Amino acid sequence: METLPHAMRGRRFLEGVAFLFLVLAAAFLFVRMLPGDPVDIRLQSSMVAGDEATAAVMRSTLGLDQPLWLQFVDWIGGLSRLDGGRSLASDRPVLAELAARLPWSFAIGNGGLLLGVTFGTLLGYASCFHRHGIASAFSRMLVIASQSIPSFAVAFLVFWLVAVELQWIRPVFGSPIERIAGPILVVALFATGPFARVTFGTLVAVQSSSWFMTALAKGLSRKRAMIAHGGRSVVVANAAVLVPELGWAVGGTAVSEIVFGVSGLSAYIVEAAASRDYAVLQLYLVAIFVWLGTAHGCITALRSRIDPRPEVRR
Amino acid sequence: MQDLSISRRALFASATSFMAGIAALSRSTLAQQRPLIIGQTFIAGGLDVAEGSAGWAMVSHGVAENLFTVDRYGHVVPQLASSASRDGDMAWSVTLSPGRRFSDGTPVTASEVSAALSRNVERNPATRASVGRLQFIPIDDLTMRVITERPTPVLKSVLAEWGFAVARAGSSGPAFTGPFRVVSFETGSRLALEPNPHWQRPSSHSVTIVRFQDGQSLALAFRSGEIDLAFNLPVESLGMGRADGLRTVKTFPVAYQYLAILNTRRTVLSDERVRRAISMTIDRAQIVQAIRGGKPSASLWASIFPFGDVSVSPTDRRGAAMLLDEAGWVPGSDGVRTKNGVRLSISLWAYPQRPDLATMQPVLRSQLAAIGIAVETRMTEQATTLARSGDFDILLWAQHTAPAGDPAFFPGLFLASDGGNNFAGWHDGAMDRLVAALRNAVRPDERVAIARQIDARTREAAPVIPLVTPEWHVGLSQRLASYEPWGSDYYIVRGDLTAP
Repeated sequence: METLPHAMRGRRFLEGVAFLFLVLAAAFLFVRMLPGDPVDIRLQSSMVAGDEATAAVMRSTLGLDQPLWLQFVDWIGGLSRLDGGRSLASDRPVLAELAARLPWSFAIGNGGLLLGVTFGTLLGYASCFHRHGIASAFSRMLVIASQSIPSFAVAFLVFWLVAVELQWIRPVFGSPIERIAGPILVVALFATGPFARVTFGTLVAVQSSSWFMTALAKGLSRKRAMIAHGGRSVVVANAAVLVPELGWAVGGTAVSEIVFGVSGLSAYIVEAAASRDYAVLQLYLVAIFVWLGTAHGCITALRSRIDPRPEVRR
Repeated sequence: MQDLSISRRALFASATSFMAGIAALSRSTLAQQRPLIIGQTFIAGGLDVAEGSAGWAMVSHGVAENLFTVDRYGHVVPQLASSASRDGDMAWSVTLSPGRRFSDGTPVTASEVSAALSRNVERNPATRASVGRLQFIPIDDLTMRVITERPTPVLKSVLAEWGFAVARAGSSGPAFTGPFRVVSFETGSRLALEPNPHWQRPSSHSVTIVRFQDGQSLALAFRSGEIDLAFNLPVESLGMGRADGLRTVKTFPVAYQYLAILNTRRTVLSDERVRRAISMTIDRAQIVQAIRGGKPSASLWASIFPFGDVSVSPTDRRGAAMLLDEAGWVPGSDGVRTKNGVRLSISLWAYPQRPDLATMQPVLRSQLAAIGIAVETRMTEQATTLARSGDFDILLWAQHTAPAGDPAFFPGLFLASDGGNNFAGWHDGAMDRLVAALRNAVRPDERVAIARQIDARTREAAPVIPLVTPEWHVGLSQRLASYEPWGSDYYIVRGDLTAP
């Protein structure tokens, strides 16, 4: 019984290493398949046609004259030494550039999701307490709006409302909290609706379960029983919704960063994509893969812990 | 009911406290003295003026300077240099102004400037566009010899080009000579500046340049009161800015030109008669109306320059139709002309970085349809790549055609057969001779006369059709209400940028 977990751990480790290698290879190949040559683009930005000699020198300096597999090996070797290479555009270490921006994007993406889960859950409970009340109508409206209104339009609307009309925040030159408040609100607005409706649906299902009937038989009111005994089901259901919402958080963060002018990853990545800044794009893709993978793993672990039944069945 | 009230109250209390907390933080920060905030849609890609267009950006940001510059009237005037004299066909002596220092306190000497500019020439191909590779040799503390690869009578103008911004490589980053010096730089996002204490008349304000990727975001930030200077506001946002007495919007003419570049390598557009017909059909006044600003222009240069021609020929659609008839393009049953079974259909490209160009597309499509030319409008994110590929019929293009105040820049780069940006693929002996003559012309009146001939030849053959000299819009807070914009986007942060 002692050897099995070790063997499983070893297998998991090997699977992790293989997964990481695949992620790195996919990020590298995807970026290198983008049309457009970074050297040409860079020379074109100088407003004159670069001669072949200049292009060759630049290509050699950047290591782009090496075979592709050798460039991949160099890149992996650099990463193992925590060296992600240098940005083609700024000539600064990519890791330092990303590290300076990551906290903004991380705070906006995760803050927006957290706010969305919190308000969505509260709204879902309120909707369930009064099925035809304002909360229920509002949550339905949020879901429809999130599917039909472009995120950049909502971002502009939030900017106008909270910064121009109400003057609650100064998104450009205020404190760090002010600078991320607007973008977090945008991400949260789009995330709230789905969590509210899933919470509502889960609570409706809970009300027909035998253990809920038992709680009622013990003398609890319907609302108290939902609060006391529906929480576990709601967490499990919302954890399932959180996985696809992670993808939205990446896109929503990018849009809101651009609209609010936050110095996060998004603007930097847009520039990097335009100039085919390979080192930046590769590392960004790896960071996104790793973040999504880690978050997915944490959510799965949370669900298993709260509701181990699927694991047992497997 | 009690539970519902608790839930509602919790929701309301959370939202209120969240916003109240933010508002409190906002007020506390407002109380502090803040720098002048400049919002714009571009920022330097890096601090190394030898790389790409960073030299232009650093001059525009008020950080770097050239030996010579262009003043608000379009004249080339001394900046770090005091004079330049020609010693021979390809040799010049340049004398530096005494008493100038870099922002780290190092004196500006001929050896420092020579080293800086030699590095620019070595690393940036843009520096070799006008007169080839330049050599800079220090003679004494304030004098250096400049050797050009091709003869030029206008070295001052060449040295005013953005590739020749001066920077000294210091141990803690580059040092410049402009009115402001760099405090911190977030690539692609923000640039914090403080007054350069070694500049002639140091400003009393720090400056922060914030980049917005979207013009509408810039307009909203300006409207919210956070921005002191919002550069190049979108036309559609102007009403919003002007409605507020606390802010003003100033509109100013720029030296950019909106141009249509015709690909003469295409069979249809290789015929000069077709190109001229297109040129004669365009109603520039209607374009100005569509983009809500600017002046119709049939010249390669803006009218603020002495070589810019202000005259605009009237639209002549009947004449254009006759030219197309003569070229063998006859009206088809659907109104589109055909020749040997081929429809007269062309692609018209624009790029989103200049929104005005996209606005112009449907106007031009409708105008060309009137003489039987079918137009398919398209957009590209990579205008330069498309231009170089030659995979277009007509490309709308925004260009500062005299960035150093001299007419030689544009024809040498865009119209000469060997021009680095000869996107039209046009080869014309007469134009090449005019470009060569302009390179060698010494007297200002002679240069103006040749520039006019270049304009006339361009109008005649129409490989490039000038359309509009645009106007741009700058939003100003009360602190900067007296700021006067000039110099397009080349000189935004200047030494006179100060608040009362």
